[in-house]
Amino acid sequence: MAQRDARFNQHVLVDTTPMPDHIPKVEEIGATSAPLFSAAYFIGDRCKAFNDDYMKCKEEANGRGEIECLKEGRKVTRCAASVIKDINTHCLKQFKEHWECLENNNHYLFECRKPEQALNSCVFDKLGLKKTIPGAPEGEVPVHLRPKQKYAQFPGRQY
Amino acid sequence: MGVPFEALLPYGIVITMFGVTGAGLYVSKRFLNEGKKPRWNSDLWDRQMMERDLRITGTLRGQSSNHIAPKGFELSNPWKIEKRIY
Amino acid sequence: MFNQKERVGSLITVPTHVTTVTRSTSPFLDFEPIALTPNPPTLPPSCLRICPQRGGYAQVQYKRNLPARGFKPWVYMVGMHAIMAYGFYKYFHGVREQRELSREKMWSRLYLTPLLQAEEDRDQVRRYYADQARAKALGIEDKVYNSERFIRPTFAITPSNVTQ
Repeated sequence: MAQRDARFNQHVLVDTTPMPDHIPKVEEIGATSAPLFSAAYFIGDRCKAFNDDYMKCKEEANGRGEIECLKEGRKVTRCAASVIKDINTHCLKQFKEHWECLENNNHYLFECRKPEQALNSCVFDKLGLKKTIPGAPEGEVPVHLRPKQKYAQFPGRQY
Repeated sequence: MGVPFEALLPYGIVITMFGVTGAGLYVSKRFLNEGKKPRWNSDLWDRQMMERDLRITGTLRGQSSNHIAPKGFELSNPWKIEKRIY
Repeated sequence: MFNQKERVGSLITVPTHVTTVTRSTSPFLDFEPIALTPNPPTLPPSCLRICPQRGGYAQVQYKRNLPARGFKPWVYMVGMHAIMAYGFYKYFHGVREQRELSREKMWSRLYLTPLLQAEEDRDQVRRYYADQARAKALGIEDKVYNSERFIRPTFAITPSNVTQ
């Protein structure tokens, strides 16, 4: 909307007033950028309905979605938190390896295909969540399953 | 037909100095990034996520995979402000 | 082989004749020396100032009969096109993989967008209610914007003394 971001800012404004009581509480997600990026496709697989519901609510709320779609937003957050919790309980080792690899390689997925393969198979076995890239061309191997990655530092056989 | 060793001295100096600066940059960048490789080519999403990492873990490069945010995370969002200039 | 009439100035024409041509057989010479045997001088007496030298001029050596080095030109042409075609082949495949990689990255971000947006929205709603409560405590009951939409405030009131 008509919003002007601050340029040359040197100060920040932190408001520590808690949420009023008439709005139900939800615990925020504590995963940071690399674990979220690593788990993004599993979140998308399990929580697609909630995500779509929330985005549709925002779109149809005609500019008042921030207040009116709080319920859908809580569902989105709870669902994503459940995915991360499940991955943490069942595939902690592979998950940790993958997001540490991502964090050490500028969040480039193509540098970390080997840990990603381990994580994907573990999550598929334990949780039944599968990584699929929508819109990928038919009849080709999806890019995350290709054994050779042209742009990786080691472009040869990844696993 | 040997080359006098004095002719090789400048090359030794050049290689040593470049090595010193390279190693120094490597060490200082690793130190600033908590032992990880530095991020590069970051777009707005990356920068904003790194600020979120700062709110969760206290450092820009810190990572945590907890599913529940630490206490007070939902209250710590900073708004960047500037002084009114008119 | 070589027979010309040179017009020098407008005075006179002097015929020169090449009578014998000898070809050098030396392998170190890369041109063919042509020996001219001079004509007997039969200059007319009117040639007073500008005249060809006696016996005519030597032939200008313009041709270097060097052997052609390297391959035929079309070989270079084909070779260049082959190298370019190989490069474009690799480039096409690289671009395709880059497109897939960016698609992968974009979809992972799309899957993360709702939860980050929900987090941000909750934060803004919390601040909105906090602002409302503060305004109420100060006795200000005034809408800033003449709109029903939710608007992140452009102007915010900051505390006069910052504690942290």
